[in-house]
Amino acid sequence: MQLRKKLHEAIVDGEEDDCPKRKIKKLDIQVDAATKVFSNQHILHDIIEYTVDGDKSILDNLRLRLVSRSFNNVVLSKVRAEFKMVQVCPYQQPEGADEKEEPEYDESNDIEDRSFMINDRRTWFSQVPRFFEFLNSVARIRVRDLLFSGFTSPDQRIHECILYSLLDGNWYSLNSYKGADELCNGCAVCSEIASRVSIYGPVQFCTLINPILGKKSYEQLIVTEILLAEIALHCVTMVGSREEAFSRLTKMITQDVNCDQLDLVFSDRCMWSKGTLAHPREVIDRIVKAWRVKSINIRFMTEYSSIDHEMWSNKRIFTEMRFDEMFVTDHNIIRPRHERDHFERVEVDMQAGDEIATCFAESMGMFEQSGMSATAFQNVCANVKRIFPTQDMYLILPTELAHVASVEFDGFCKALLEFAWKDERTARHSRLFFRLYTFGITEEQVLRQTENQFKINCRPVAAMLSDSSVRRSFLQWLPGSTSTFDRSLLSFTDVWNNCVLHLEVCIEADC
Amino acid sequence: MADQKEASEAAKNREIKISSSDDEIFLVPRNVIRLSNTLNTLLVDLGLDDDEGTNAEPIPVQNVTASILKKVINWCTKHQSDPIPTEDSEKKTDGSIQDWDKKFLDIDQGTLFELILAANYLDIKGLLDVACQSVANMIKGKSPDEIRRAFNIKDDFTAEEREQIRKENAWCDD
Repeated sequence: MQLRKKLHEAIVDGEEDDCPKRKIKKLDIQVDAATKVFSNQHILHDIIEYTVDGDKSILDNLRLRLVSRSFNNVVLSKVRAEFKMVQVCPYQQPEGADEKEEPEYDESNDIEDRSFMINDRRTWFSQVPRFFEFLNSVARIRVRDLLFSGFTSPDQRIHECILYSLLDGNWYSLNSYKGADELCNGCAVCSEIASRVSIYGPVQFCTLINPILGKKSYEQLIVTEILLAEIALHCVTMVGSREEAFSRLTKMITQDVNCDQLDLVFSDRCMWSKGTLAHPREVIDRIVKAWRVKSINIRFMTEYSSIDHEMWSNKRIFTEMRFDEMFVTDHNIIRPRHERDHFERVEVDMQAGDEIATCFAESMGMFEQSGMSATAFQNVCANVKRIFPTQDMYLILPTELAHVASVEFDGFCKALLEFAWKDERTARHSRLFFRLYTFGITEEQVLRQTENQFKINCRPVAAMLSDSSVRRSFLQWLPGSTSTFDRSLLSFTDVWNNCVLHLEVCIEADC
Repeated sequence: MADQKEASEAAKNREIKISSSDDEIFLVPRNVIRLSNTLNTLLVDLGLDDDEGTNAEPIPVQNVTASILKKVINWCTKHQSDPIPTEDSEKKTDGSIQDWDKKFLDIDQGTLFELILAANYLDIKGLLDVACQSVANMIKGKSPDEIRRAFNIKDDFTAEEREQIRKENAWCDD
């Protein structure tokens, strides 16, 4: 009896923290909660994502696979996610790098062991077999988007390494194939891939002269000014008449291809006042028409190479189109207004157009004259709109203009109106959406523009803060691209010509 | 605009009755509830979102105890003015946590994990993110063995499987 009473007393009188029952219960709760957390793939995914530093790859944290099966599954799924998109670049040796960074010569194989970058990871050819075996056999990656970038000369070794070792010949899963022209002159595999992907480019001349079998619909195709010139040259070489040249053009650019979005890449050397680069207008028109293009993306890039346009322009068959030219007349292409095609959307990316930025700044009286025309850039918008008719045009201004706008925002707004609306006739009945990335501009500076009196070609222009619909339009354009910026919006309206210019000022947030 | 302002003020003043898994009842401002997608959806689905008063019957939060639910409400109250993050919102992967959140998460592991489960169940992305980040900060720099010991994670690999993983990872050790 006393023994029973003693046990009972111990249970009743024990401290809460010392109670065996409570201890067990508490421990169970902790273990149970932890088990639930680490076995929940969604939660564990987040935890591991935070564990991997933002600037590092999951490949630098493969040791986490050894924690548990759940960890292993999540890590491998992250590897697969990381390699859905693959970017291959040449290795750029950092300044002052150690001599050990130099390529090693493997005497046994008599092959130089070079390196390249794959998704920002330096990889030596000697590492490829085990590395790519891991990716394909263990992680089971499935590459959807493949991009070659930064190569200045053909490199078959890297090209074949990626296609046969990384993709393991399984290019059927590819949805996007870009930049292969940088290191391959057009092999059978590239042509095969080109016929299967939805996004492809830059389109190579050899792909066109060896027609892709069957009808092919593309979500996006990239065409450079180089290809335009090559097509024009091909069509005018050794022909007896204009009709024959256009017949060649029709046979080359067939309606077997359907393209939703056409990306056109041009050098921004169109800003030079002398020897301005010309493009074959009819070739562009044929491509747009035959491929039934719905939307256009134009990209201006500094130092983008091209062939001499005079090789085809001397024949005087195709119209020379220049983006800096005023009052371009379509002598050979005259169509009634109601028959002109209108594109659903036209976008112009000038972020890499340093020359445009320089001309823009010079028009504001900044920088010394560099030989380029300070006003040539004013015709770019008009010419784009004339060649690719559209009501709405979206334009990203050069990155180099960030400083210009920061220093003199008032003058910048005036110059922008000149840039957009110098050609009054073409500017009519249109809406322009400009995006500017900059820094240091305050909301007050932006707001002050509503008090300024603007004029363009003697026409009054009203400035006001943009309404919510404009804000939504900008947000829907390249979603997420401005999420880290403070945004201020201005709208400039020319009532007389029924046109409006919206300016989104994306200000880099202070740290 | 005036109507919108009045609606916003009404939302702030309105309180929603919710109950924990152990039947403790809480009155939470509507503006605080908005951070939980789960509760937001329930309010809409039950037709309670159009009402102006407090709901007669509490909305049950079955998987969360009172002690944890109280913490969740506390966090949401603090962050009620924050913009609601979306799936596209950029994650801060630099390990930094705001001071208030850091102090809020200075709790025992068991409570932290319960908080994570509650945030996941109630779909409060901001709380889930910061809590997961807190756990991630504990993981950084630890070996697999240390991670298992720190969180009492069961090692469910066989010796052969573990060795196989080490072999598979060996390529990056070169």
